[in-house]
Amino acid sequence: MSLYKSDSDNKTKLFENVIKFGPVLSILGYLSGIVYFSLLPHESLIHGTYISENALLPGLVTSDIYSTDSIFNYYHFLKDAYENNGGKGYNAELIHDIFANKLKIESYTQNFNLSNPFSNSETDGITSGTNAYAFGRAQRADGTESIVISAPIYLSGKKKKIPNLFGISQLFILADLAKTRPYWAKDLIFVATDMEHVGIQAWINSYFEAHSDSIKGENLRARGGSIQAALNLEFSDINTNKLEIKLEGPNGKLPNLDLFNTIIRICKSMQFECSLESEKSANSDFSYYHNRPPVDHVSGLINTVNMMLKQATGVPSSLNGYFLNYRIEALTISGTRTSFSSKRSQQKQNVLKTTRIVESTLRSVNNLLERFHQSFFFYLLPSSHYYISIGMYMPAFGLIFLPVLIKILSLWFEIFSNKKSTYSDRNDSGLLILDLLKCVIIKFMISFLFGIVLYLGTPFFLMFGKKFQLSPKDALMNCYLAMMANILMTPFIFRSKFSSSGNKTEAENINKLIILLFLTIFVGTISILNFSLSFFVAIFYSPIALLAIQNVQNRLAKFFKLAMMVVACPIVYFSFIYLLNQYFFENKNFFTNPGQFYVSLSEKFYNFVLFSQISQIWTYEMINLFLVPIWSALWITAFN
Amino acid sequence: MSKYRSLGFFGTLILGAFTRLFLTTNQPLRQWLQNRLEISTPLTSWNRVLEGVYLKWSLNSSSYEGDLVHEIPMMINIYHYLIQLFTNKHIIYVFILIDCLNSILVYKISYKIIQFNCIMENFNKTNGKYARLFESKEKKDDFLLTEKNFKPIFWSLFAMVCYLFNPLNLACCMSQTTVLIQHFVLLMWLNFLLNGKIFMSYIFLAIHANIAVYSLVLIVPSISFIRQKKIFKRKQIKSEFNLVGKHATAFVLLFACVFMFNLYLENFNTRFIDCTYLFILKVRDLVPNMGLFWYFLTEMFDHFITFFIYVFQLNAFLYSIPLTLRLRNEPLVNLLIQIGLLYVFKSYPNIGETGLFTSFLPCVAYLFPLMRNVLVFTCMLIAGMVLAPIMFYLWLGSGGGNANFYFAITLVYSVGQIFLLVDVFYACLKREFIKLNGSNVPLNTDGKPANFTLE
Repeated sequence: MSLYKSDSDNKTKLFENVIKFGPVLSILGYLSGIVYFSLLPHESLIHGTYISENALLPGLVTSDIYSTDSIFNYYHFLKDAYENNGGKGYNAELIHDIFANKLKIESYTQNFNLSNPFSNSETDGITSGTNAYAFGRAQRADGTESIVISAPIYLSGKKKKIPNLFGISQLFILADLAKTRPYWAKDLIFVATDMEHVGIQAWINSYFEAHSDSIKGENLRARGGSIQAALNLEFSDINTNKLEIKLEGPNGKLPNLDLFNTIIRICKSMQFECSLESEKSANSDFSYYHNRPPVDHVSGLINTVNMMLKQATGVPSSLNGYFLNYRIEALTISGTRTSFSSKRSQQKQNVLKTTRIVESTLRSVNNLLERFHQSFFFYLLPSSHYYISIGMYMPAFGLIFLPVLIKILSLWFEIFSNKKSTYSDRNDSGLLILDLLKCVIIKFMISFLFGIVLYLGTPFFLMFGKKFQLSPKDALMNCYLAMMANILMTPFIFRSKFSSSGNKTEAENINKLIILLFLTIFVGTISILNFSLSFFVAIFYSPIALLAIQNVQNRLAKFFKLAMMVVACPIVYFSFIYLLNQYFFENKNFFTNPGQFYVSLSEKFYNFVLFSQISQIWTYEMINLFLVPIWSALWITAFN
Repeated sequence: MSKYRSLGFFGTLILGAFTRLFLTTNQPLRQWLQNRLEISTPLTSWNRVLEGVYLKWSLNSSSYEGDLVHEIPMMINIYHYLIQLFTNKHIIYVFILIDCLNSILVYKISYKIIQFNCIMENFNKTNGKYARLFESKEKKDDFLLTEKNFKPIFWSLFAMVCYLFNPLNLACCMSQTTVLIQHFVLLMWLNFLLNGKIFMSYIFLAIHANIAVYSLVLIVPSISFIRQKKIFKRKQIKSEFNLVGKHATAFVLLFACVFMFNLYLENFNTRFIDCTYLFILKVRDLVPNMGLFWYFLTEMFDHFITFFIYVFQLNAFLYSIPLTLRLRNEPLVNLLIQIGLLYVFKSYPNIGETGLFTSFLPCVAYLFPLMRNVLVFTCMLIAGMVLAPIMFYLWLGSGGGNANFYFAITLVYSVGQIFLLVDVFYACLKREFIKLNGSNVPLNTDGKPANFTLE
């Protein structure tokens, strides 16, 4: 031990232990992280959902909807309007008209237009639409709080747009209740939105006077109190016997779990089937009226992964997501039909129940005394009756990322406790700086330059494509892949520039340390905002990063390393996840038809980029700005 | 002057200026930064300055109407003339200019600090103070600082790079916070102090102490430095008490002069006292910032607040004298540590202040091998800086989090800074121990090697 060093004996011991047990701990940590994660939906670890906010009192009120007559009246009225004149009569004007003249409540329309963010000219690529919105003012309240019930006028279908007739009809029923009943403590705001994702954003942005580059909406003529919750109703058919709840908001946001629990409870009390979107459960013979279904591990895991895949993209699963941007707890209730019942009485029962569920949910929210603040904001749902809270899933993430942290620690010790440092003499500090400049700074500058080019480049890519008369989606995909190829080529071009002058281990180690620190910061930061995205990044990039910075002598091993690094290219990795997702969840087998996969992928990619631009979703930008440079730096390091 | 002409110096300066000019073109970024609470604290927000100027010169009322402005009258007047000269649209270029001047000052000061440390060690060496170091078994030739093994040009340039390209300082420059001007005053004080122009340095310190009350305590390390300088110029110090008394009185008089000047500018209306000095000391504005005050004071029952404000404020003033006594042989390290401590215990800290303090670390780079927790505090500071806006967003933006999220991060950030300061302090003491006692590991009474701990 020397006084000239900062380390006491304890620290040297720690260093030796990290070097000795590091690799074992890393592998153990990574594997146990995966095992722990897959055990999360297991009976012994899982928790059942519960209502945390007492004021909600779900299902305690007697419904004020007694018959289906008026529902069917509205429904048929809308259906007639839709079927005559080729659907032109069924629009926001008609809905506004019913609100204003039939129900006689305060109602307005809002025009908005969407300009394509990637089109060059001012007039080109502008589409416009109209929303209708109405206010059911609470008679006996002071109007400081409100609840939004929204329904898109059309739903996006597989081939063509489907009219949301039943959803809109329910707005009218509820508007009638809002007008006639004295118990409302909050204003009800009814919004019928045009053009799916665009209309709702136009309305919300105008409501909060937020600015958006591509969506321009008219100013709203009236407002309600502070919005406590929002429900979005989507019914493609009036014959529904099951409700599906969609939660995922933009950029991985989720609504408060209490709102979700409330709807599940109410459905249960009405004895109506209700689940997560495309929820899988193994025991289909389970009677829905049990208090709580038994845990099914496998389907629970599938549901969790499915939810995480949806959350990771950052694209909201439905229109409810945009409310979450403004701290409004919101979810989408969509109706599906699992079996066809020809009995008219059964169908009538289902219509009545569905409407009552929505009414009952609204009246539960009506009871709220303060904003949703109890229960969970960060959770994963393996089934509609069980949840995994942040405290449970975060350790899995930590364990999976442990190898990188251990490597950082050991690299740090290696650099700063090195007995025979190349630059031990202070005179050589200049040399070290020079090596760092070569080894680290230039590398990072080039890598981040690529990131910035990708971040800002989309319009230029499309302009480029126009010159070569490519369709936008082909142009974007091809240019993006060309940029990736460019990154892959970089080490060939600058090969000599990156190697340092003297004994280069020290500068190299610092380079590795900085890359790993960048990765840690990126993954750690994203894990707070969008856990799923960071999980999918961590589970792959944690071992890949360690592989990339490992010095290997064997040619075969080096080839394997470089091949893995090509797979680690963000677009390749995420395409692979997309492929698996399509295979397992959408039942599309692209393995046999790679050409079709490419077409489908480039279309999906273009839509995703366009959608991110319009709806301000940062997944694409984050990956371009941070993950691509990290990967690029890793690639250059792996090559040398 | 030849040393300033080196390519590195001008290259860095021009690169720094261009980076700033380039960033000014990004309007949304500037807007975002101007509204960040970590940067635009009540004491440094440019919008508040504009409000003060408008109230005084356009509405002919007091700048302190409405309790929004907390700059001293003198600075408000200066800003008023600056705005008249350059208009508010172009004022950003003045800020860039001041930031560049600051970086030059950082360079000059770092150069002086390193030079002074080298000369001091050389002086002590020739006086035979380090005899035991040369008798010890394990020798390290370059342990003592000389201008050969710790090149002032290189390390002061490094300090300048640290100042110019520190993201914190860049953010401060882009958001036009007046903290840059406070930095300028503080750096002028250091510059004059190191150059031996004591009267001028006290004027600047008095101005800075009027802007941010806490820097009053910096007079203690200044006197310690002057004393050390006298010792090694072989001037006889007749009475320590006399020296301290003389300098302290001079400083207090200058402080009073600056105060009276401010009073005169306000036409002897004493209202500004409540809005500046007392506003800082009483911590009335509890809007979140990167400091330690706001969370405690918002969570606390009202009747405890006075007591805890006393306790918290005491922290900022308490450590000055003991630290100076302990580090009397290392007056410059003492100066740096004390500036850093002030920034941690301030009521309205600004991240730019951490930026300024950390850019002086290259001057004491020779202490790094002796530090213990470099990885810990580096990670803490990085985590604090990256996560602060995110936690803020989770709390007030998306609503998923709560105040504890942001507070936890400000705590990490502050503790990181304290770890850094303590580590510098520890390394400095250990180095002093080695210099005086040699590098032989001392033994405990039981014959085992002793551990070096801070107690």
